[in-house]
Amino acid sequence: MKGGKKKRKILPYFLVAPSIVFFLVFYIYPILYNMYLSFFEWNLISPTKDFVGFQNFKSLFSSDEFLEVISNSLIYMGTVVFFTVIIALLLAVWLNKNSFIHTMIQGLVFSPYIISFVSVSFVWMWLMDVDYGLLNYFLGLLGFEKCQWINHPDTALLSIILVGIWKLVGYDTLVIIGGLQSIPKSIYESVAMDARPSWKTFLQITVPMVSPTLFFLVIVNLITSAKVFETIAIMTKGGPLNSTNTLVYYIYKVAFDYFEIGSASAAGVVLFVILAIITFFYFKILSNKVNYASD
Amino acid sequence: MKLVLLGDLHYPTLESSDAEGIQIRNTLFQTLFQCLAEEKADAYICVGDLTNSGTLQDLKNLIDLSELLNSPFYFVMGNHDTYGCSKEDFIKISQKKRYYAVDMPQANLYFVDTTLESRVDDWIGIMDDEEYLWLQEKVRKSTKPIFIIAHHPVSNTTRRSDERKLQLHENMWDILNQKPKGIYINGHNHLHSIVKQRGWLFIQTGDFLSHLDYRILCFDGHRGTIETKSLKDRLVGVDQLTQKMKRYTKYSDLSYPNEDLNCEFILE
Repeated sequence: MKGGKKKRKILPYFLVAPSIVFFLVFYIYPILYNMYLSFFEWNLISPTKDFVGFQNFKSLFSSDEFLEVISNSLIYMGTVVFFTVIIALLLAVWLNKNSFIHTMIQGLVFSPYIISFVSVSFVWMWLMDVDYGLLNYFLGLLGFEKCQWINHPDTALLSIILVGIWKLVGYDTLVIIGGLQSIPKSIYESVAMDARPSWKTFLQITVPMVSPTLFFLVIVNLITSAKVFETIAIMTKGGPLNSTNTLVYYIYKVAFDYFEIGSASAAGVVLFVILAIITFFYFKILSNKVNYASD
Repeated sequence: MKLVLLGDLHYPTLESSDAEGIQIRNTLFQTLFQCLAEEKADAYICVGDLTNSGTLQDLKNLIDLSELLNSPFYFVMGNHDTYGCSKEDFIKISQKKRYYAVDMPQANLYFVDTTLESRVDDWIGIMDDEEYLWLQEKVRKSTKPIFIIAHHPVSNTTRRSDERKLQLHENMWDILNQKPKGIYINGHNHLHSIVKQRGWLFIQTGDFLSHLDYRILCFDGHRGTIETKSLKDRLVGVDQLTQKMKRYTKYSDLSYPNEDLNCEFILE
């Protein structure tokens, strides 16, 4: 009897052990090892690592390039998340119908999300070509000057942002449509009796009711856009003049082009901290203002 | 043999809406290449930083302009040339190798890559082992006078080459000392300078937009001359252009002793 009780106590731990081990080895260990490496100078090949304390962090924050990288990353994240969620919300409200046309458009809008970023980047490079690109062709038809898109430091980041929004908006739209469909119809029926303008219904009923979904999307989009890599690696290589260099691409360059593993790890820690802070604040502040409707 | 040496060009990227800037830039560089063509040189050499932002579009524009020249246009990569593309892309568009040799009747020319790729905050000069060994071997085997063309200067030779980011961080003297004489041509430091050390002549050419000039190097296999030719009277609007450029500072009110501009030399 005693043995059976002990077994029953141990069994749950035994059952969850594989996932705990997996989690520790593949999630926690890399984070801790990355933090550990950020205090060393190492070139990935040398058998010895030189302890340098906080020197890697000091060098990062005294480098204009890195401060530009942080600024680019924050601009990218903020702009992509803001516009993606707004556009997706409007699209979702429009597409929240069960007609054939609306379902087809939903599929079309979602399709960029399932295409690989690599292919997407090549297509957009062609679209944004200064001389032969489709975008400049249309701008020309409308009587506008050609845009330099990814070829000019002032427009390159915006071009990358445009691709980021285009890629994410379909997924967000579909998720918001799911949220909209879960709003009880009875609420709209009651509102219809008040004869209130539709924009008021949208702002006062739809948005608050769908806010948990929006909140989830903001967090997911923030994390996705903080990790942007493929479009930059393929379309701009972080240039021109560092104007599209963001954190993950910077980490990759420093680690695998310059073999400065300590600096790259320190930048990785900075990325981790930024994401942790953003997530913490969103959960702390925004979650209190989000409406979680109950039936 | 007549060579024309061009300093860092820093061909500027401009917004399409900046019609005035584009007009100035196009006129400026078109005039430059027309003047160069009039020189009827055997080859034209640019010491890197062809473009300021490193975009392929700007590189294509410059390569199109170089078609005005009636002789080959050779160049090396500068640190700015990969601020908007990879070395691989640069090589593809320029149709040059990363480092290469050109055999001319009076000399062997070796063009080397001394840059870090897309590294905006550090513009030191380095060479990888493979390239270093290639150059070492080429210099050792050469039977003609040697001209090495690189973006970065050998440390402690020409003006400002004692500064960390303004010098080549390789022991070049191990290569140069294999021959008692030769010419090393570079840019990067944006200042004119001509220095003779241990039998080698170091010619550093300042950036084009600050100086608005180019150098003519004539060499008969034994002795030669260097002449610096100004285009200040023929080019206008440079300040309007340079004010809009990022990560570029134009030098003004520069003056040099004559030996940094014009000289005669004997390689012996």
